[in-house]
Amino acid sequence: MSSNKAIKFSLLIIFLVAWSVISLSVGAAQVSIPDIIAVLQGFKVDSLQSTIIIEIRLPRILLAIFVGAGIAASGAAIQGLFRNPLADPALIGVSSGAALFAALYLVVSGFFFNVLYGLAASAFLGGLLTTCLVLEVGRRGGTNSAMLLAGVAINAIAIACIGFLSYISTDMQLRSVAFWALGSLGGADWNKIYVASLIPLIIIALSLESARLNAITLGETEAIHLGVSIGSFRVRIIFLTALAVSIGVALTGVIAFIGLVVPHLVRLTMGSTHQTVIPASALVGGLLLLVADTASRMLFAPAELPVGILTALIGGPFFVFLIMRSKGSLGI
Amino acid sequence: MSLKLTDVSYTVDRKRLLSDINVSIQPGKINSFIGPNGAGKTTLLRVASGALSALGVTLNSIPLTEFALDDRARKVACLNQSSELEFPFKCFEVLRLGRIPHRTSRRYDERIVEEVINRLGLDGLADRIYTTMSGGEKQRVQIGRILCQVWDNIDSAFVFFDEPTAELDLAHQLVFFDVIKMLAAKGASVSLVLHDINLASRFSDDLVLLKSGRILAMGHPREVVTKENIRLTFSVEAEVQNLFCRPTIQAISVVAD
Repeated sequence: MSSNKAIKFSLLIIFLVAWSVISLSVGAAQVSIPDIIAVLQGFKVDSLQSTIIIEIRLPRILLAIFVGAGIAASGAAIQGLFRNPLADPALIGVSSGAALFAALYLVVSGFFFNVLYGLAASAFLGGLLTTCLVLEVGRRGGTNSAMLLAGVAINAIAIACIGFLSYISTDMQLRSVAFWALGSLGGADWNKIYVASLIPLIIIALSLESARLNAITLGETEAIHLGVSIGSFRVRIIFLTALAVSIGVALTGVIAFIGLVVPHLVRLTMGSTHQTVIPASALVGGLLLLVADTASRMLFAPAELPVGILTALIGGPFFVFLIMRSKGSLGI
Repeated sequence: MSLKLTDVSYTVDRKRLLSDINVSIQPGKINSFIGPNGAGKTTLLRVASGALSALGVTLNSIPLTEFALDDRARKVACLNQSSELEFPFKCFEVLRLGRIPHRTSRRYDERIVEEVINRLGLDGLADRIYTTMSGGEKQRVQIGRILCQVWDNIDSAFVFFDEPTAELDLAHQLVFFDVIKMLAAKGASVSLVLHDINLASRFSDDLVLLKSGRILAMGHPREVVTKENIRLTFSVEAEVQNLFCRPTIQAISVVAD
């Protein structure tokens, strides 16, 4: 790694730690930094501050970092696999597919089995199914734009189905269904962190695919000539990204645009090889979702804005900017 | 050591693209596949390089399909007509992609990339962003990537290029042919698909003339590039002259069937 890249990676980690501390401190109840340090060291165990830090804010911060990192790294991998810089788990319908199955689980199957794991499992199933569906439709259409359009269609279908589910669901169910459509980090607790801790493992697994991801950006035939077994490689990437995105959706709902915008920012500033793009996207994605979540807690405090609204409000215009700037060079 | 196609046919959607192809691709030689549009040149190249699997293709008497992909990639390199790369890689990063199947050290790979950059005169492009380059510049970088893939085992390499010179200016065409002559001299087998019959005639040891998926003529350019063959395959009346001891054609008129 060049020293330049090493500096950028170090800066990212420093930002991430610094913002985590800020995020621990700010909120409806301010906690001073010495108090935070004291709590983290195990003092002040029974205080209100301890409860706020350990039970509310710390899991929320970790959840933001894990989920943001997972979505962004998945976005980078999916863009590589589809050779399309505009592919994004939310854009091509994977997230809404996962959300639909999560909502379906809540409304239809009710509450047998452990709710959290059941949710995560059905979201994963939904994410996996939609990824395969989009991939197959895209393959039959023969072009990258066919795949994106398939994603748009599947997105619309999934959202319509979620709408239908909320129409037939009870008041109590309705609220949780709406939660998946918007995305929020509220309700983070340590149980969710246990599930989310799979995400760093997925990111490591994706990083191990870097060389093959680089190869496939040249085209499938070229990748075969560089020794990549396309079939099993594709299955691994789809499985890993669907898993990361679905875990994210099950825990926080659909958080739009992180998966699209972050890999772009990374490529613009740090280069395009996936050895850099995957880990850097994970760091930037974690940082961005953490910043957005802190903002969503602060803007209308003590009320909270669902963070998905914020990421879409920032990401949407950026996406439009990208399209206008591309002038055909984005390959769609 | 050779790559042999024995009675190879290739069919897609009940359409015969290649029929009864028998070709032996020898080390140290430059072969060119020529023929009109849709004759099956690219299909033949893809079948021979293993991108499309067909029965009857063997490398050192072992069916090409039995090689592990990464093992094959260390012996066989192939550049397709157009590249799909849409990500803003730097030029030297694209070159380094050629090293993926080798799993050699980064330092070693960087040295090879450096040597290829010097050999192809890519110095000025090394730090440029691939997606911002012109068609010809991209092509030179892709040719470089293929060289990186075989640079440390040229003597046992089989290298395929589909229309490598289509986007290159005159000077870079000559640089390209200079480089592949060097590859062949070191023992590599080089196979090309070329539209330009005169380039093919001048720089190839052997020509394979295709029409409608069949081999119409094969051998030294003098035997292949004849008035009759040109009329039969291209439906064109042509003058044939010798230049650099090789037949050179000048198309005169289209022959009505």
